[in-house]
This record gives sequence, C-alpha cells and structure tokens, in this order.
Amino acid sequence: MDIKDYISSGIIESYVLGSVSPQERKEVECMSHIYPEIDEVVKKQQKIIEDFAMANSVKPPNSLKAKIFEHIKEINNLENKATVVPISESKLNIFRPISIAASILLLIFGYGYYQLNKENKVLATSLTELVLVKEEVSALNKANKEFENKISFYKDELTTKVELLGTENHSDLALSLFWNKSSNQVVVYGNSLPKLSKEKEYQLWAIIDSVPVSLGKLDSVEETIAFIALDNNGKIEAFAVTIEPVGGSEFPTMEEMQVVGNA
Amino acid sequence: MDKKEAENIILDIKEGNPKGFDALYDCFSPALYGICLKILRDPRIAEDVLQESFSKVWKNIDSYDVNKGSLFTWLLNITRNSAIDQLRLLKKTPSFEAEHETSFLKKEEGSASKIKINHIGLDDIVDTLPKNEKLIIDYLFYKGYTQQEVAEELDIPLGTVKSRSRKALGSLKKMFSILITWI
Repeated sequence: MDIKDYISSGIIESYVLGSVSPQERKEVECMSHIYPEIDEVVKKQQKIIEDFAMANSVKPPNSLKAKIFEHIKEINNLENKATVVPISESKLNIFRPISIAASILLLIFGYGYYQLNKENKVLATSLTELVLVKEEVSALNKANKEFENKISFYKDELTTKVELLGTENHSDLALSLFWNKSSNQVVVYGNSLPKLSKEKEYQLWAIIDSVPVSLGKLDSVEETIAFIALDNNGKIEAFAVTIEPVGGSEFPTMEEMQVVGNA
Repeated sequence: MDKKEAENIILDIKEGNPKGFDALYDCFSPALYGICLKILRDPRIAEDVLQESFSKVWKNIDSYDVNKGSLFTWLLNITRNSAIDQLRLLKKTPSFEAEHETSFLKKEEGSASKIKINHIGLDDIVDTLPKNEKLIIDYLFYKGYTQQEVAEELDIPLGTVKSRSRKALGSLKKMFSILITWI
C-alpha cells in the first residue's frame, strides 16, 4: 500500500465532502486508523470544511432554540419512560400466559435481529480488513520472491566468490563480490571501502579479454547488481574497482585503482 | 472548541443537564443552520431539518467518540446528511425541482438571497474561487453527489473531478487563512 498514492487518489477529499459510499467511508476510517499520515490529512481537510461551515453561519430564528429544546426534552422523557415504566401489578388474567409467550417470542426475534445486524456490521469491518490483509500478503509474497531469487543466486554452483585485494598503495583494502559464470550476474553486497568525498565515486570494472568494461557505480550502502554482456568467445579475466568523478568514466583511471582480483 | 470542552458538553448531554444543550446549540447552531439553508434554500424546511438533526444527535450521542474526530465534524455530517436526505425527498415532488434548480453559488433572485444573511459575505469570498472549483463544491457538498455522479453530470473525466475537488479544498484553505488574518 503506497500511502502517498492513497492520499493523492482524491478519496479523502471525497470523504470530507461527504460524497463517498458507506463502504468507502469505512475504508477511509480504517486507513486513517492504521496510518497516522492519512489521519493527519483527513483531520486537516475536515478543519477546512469546519471553517467553511463556520464562515457560512446564519443565525437561526430566536424562537427555534426553545422549540428544539422542547422536542429534545420529549425525546428524553420518552426514553426515560421507556426504561422506568414498571410492569403492571400482577393480576390474574387469562391473557397473561399469551402475552408472556408473545413477549418471549418478540424477545427471541428481537435478539435474532439484533445479532444479525451486529454480524452485518462486523462483516463490513472484516471486509475492509481483509482487503488490507490481502495487500499486505501480496507485498510479503513479492518480498519473499525477491529473497528466493537471491538465495538461488548464492546457492548456484556456478556462482563463485571473487576476492578483490588492495593495490600497491592501498594494501589494507579488500572487497569481495559474487559472480555467476552462467548468467554473468555480479553482486557486491554492501561496500566496505572508505567513504569518498561528494565529487567522487567507486566504479566497478570487469576486465574482459584485457579490455576494461564498466559495470557501473558501486552503491555505497545497498547491494550492487550488474550483468555483464559477454560475447560468445569473451573471457572475464578480472574485476577491479577505481575511484572516478561522480557520473563515472568511460575508461578506468589506472592510478586510482583500489582493489583488483582475478576471476 | 477543544477536546476538553467537547467532552464536557457530551457529559452534560448524557446526564440530561440542560447546560449541554445550551452550549451545543449556541456554539454550533448558526453553522449547522447555514448548511441547512444552503442545501434546502427554504427557512422553514431548514428549521425542521435542524430540529431533526439535533434529535439525531441526542439519540446517538453514545456513538460519538471524541478520539475519532472533532465534535463539530460529527455534527456537520449528521446535519448535512439529514439535509441531503430531505433534499432528495423534496426533489421527488415535481414543483420543487423547478424552483430549486439554481446553484447557490450563482447570485440569483431566489429564496436564498431574500433571507437576511448576517455573516461575513462568504458568497463574495467563494466567488473568488475559479468557476469550475465552485461548481465541484456545489455538487459534492451541497447537492450530495458522488464524484462519479459529478463526472457524469458535467461530462468530465473522474480524474478531473478528483483533482478539482482537491484544488477547491486547497483554495478554500487559503481563503480562510487570509480571512483570519484580515479579521
């Protein structure tokens, strides 16, 4: 799930303007519950609508306040009555068993309806969660696939480790890389060489039939992956790393060669 | 109104203390009535819907969670939804449609402009919004259309509706910040 994509999709604007379906509304609420970034955008935009509504204020007629208050008092009374009305004194009555049976039935149906309604709500929430879980699973699957690819690269019998050792002036340096002789993929995991100034970068080379071929910049933190394009009869003889100006060079600066190792 | 004040009001309402109603009504009724009027354009109907909205607030006060969002936004949603429902109901009566089919954003001689509006000339400010952004706010917020419906009604791509509603909110925000420093 890309949060930025979600935020720029327009659904949050739609949500605060009130023009989303109930399902979408649940989704936005669920997302803003999970991601603080989304929650922040939602709150910011709700504030705009609040300001908009405040600026749009019109004082209602004075008489309305009392009228509404009366109405609300009635609601309160009805609710209170509903809860405190006592069950009438027990008088023997032939309808009593029937009314009790009817009440029980009503209770059962009422409870059934309540449960059903509750389950529906739970179901709707679960659905939103399911969508999120599905997205997570597909992201994990993707990561897993990448991981498996890596493992099969390292496990391959044709993958060999090549040790590059420091040249004359840099005898303390060393770097190792992995090279698959069949696919000609080269992987350098991390970079243990000293940090360079902003204007310089490490460039990786393969020496093929005595000719240096650039394999690109050596990433400073992450792994560097390169593929060597090789002619049918070409032979990789060695790998080397030089220091070059940012952007790389077409040919290696031989005086700046740091490490080298035979394939 | 901060969270603490909102919590106090809610507590008063739950306890049946009239102070709760007083505070809620005094603080929010002008904004809520303004929304009802803009949507329904008839003071009598707007008053009824405001009363209905307050009733809903009373009946559902337990479902409001102060941690989920501001009290004002909750009230606005209840009121706007009540007003839009009423509008849809009214639209089914043929005499209503003809009278009502004018945008609130257009200055007109309709019922809305006859009402004495004592606010800070919002219409003038909203008028400074680009025409197509005004239209989007009108359809989405005041007429209760979905973005898809707006796209179909105005015959423009859904993506355009989305980007315009984003822009319109941005412009509104800018206006309010100018307004606040100006006041």
